[in-house]
Amino acid sequence: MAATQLIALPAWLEGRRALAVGEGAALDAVAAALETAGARAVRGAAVADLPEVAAQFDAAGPVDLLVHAGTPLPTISSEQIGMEQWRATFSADLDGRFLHAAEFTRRLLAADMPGNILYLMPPYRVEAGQGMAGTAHGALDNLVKSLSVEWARDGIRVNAIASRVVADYQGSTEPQQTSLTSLAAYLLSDYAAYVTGTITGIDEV
Amino acid sequence: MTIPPHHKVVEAPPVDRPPLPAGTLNGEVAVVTGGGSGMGLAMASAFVQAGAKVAIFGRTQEKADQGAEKLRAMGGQVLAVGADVRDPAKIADVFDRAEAELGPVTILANNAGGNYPVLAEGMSAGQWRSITRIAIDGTFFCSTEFARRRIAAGGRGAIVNNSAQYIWTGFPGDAHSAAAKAAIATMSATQAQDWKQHRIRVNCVAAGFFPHAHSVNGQNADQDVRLGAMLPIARVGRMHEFGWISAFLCSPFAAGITGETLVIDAADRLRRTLTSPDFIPPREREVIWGDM
Repeated sequence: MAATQLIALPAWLEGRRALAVGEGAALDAVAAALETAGARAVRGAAVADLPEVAAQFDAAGPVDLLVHAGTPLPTISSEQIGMEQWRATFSADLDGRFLHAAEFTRRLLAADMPGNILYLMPPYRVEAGQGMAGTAHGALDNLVKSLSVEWARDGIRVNAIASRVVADYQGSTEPQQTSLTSLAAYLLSDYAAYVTGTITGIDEV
Repeated sequence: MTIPPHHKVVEAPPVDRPPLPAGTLNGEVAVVTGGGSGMGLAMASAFVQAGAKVAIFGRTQEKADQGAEKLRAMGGQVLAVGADVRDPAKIADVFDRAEAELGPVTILANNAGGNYPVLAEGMSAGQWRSITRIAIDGTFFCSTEFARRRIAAGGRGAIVNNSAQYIWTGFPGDAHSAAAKAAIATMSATQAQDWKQHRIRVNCVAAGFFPHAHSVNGQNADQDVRLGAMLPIARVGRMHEFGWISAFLCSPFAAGITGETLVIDAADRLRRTLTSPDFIPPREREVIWGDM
């Protein structure tokens, strides 16, 4: 679907190449916005197996932007989650986000190129049934902070947008939708060259 | 220490290539407190680049005039006034002046503040108040004056507050500013909630090292290189990138963003190793904040 964009995005990402991993309306909108901002965006499935991740990068060709929206996590009370479901959802989400980021960086290091990573994730909500999302949020929050420092001197920034606009894009207002896509493009651009290791929301009040 | 040549140092685009297209803020009037120099002037410059008219509230008329001169050279329509942001009556007066000369104020950048190292047990009541009352009270009084006017006008507006990257860790030897900057961030989130129904957005920028002429240790190229070498991103912040991200938060691109604190610190707050140099209490250091 096309991004809802109340104001046209400038060419902040002219010449950049992005791999946008995952599914959902928020990622669709962000991927479309990256194209509007001048990037070429290739889509990839949220796989969590390293050979599959590598194959996805092989198919995409050189990219210097990675947007990862993870795997949808169900609302379910924790005692009802068995190992099979845990592996298929929580592990797939967290492992996939890490494996994609690590493979992205290995390729940039080999090519001696800078790049940027942006995770899209739901907000942190202390609510019944959010055991998987809550656990994933903590892991991703500190993953962003750790990777940002590890890779800072390689010119690779790592940030996240954690928002209910990501979780419920269709139910968000047009200004919120515009803000998600604009903030994503801004963070991925060199205008945010001094921003790394951050987790920002849109309207979580 | 210098930056090894194989480390990548990425700069933001140069100051004459702002992210917001010219005219993005046409028709808007921005008040910038402490806008005569430093980070406030960077915010004001970004607003002017995007087409807003700007009222600088400076600590003194002279300081405000100095900033206004630079903004006018950029083509900005600017008003410069001296204002004590600790005085609500004075704030109302200067808002009146700004609105009479430039039109309804629709953007507020709360930047007025100060900072200097001092040990808490040796801090006088006057020193404590010199920082907290400008930063906390000033932000509160200016924001509430702005909000009352915007609500009376039918709503809509944007506030951006200047916070700091040490709001999550505290800052030993800087109790007054550490308390004040964190208060500003939590104030922002709560006021965002208060005024959401009026379409008044409130956000914060938590900045790291952005040396300028009025920083505690001033600014010079050698010091910038030395400070940059200690940061993961390998450089100090450029004033225009701080101004730009502040203007972005007040722009239509961020029309749905409220209650957020956006960190722009080169991951300074995240530097950590399992071991560190021996801990020296601030009282026993040669320089309270550490060698600059």
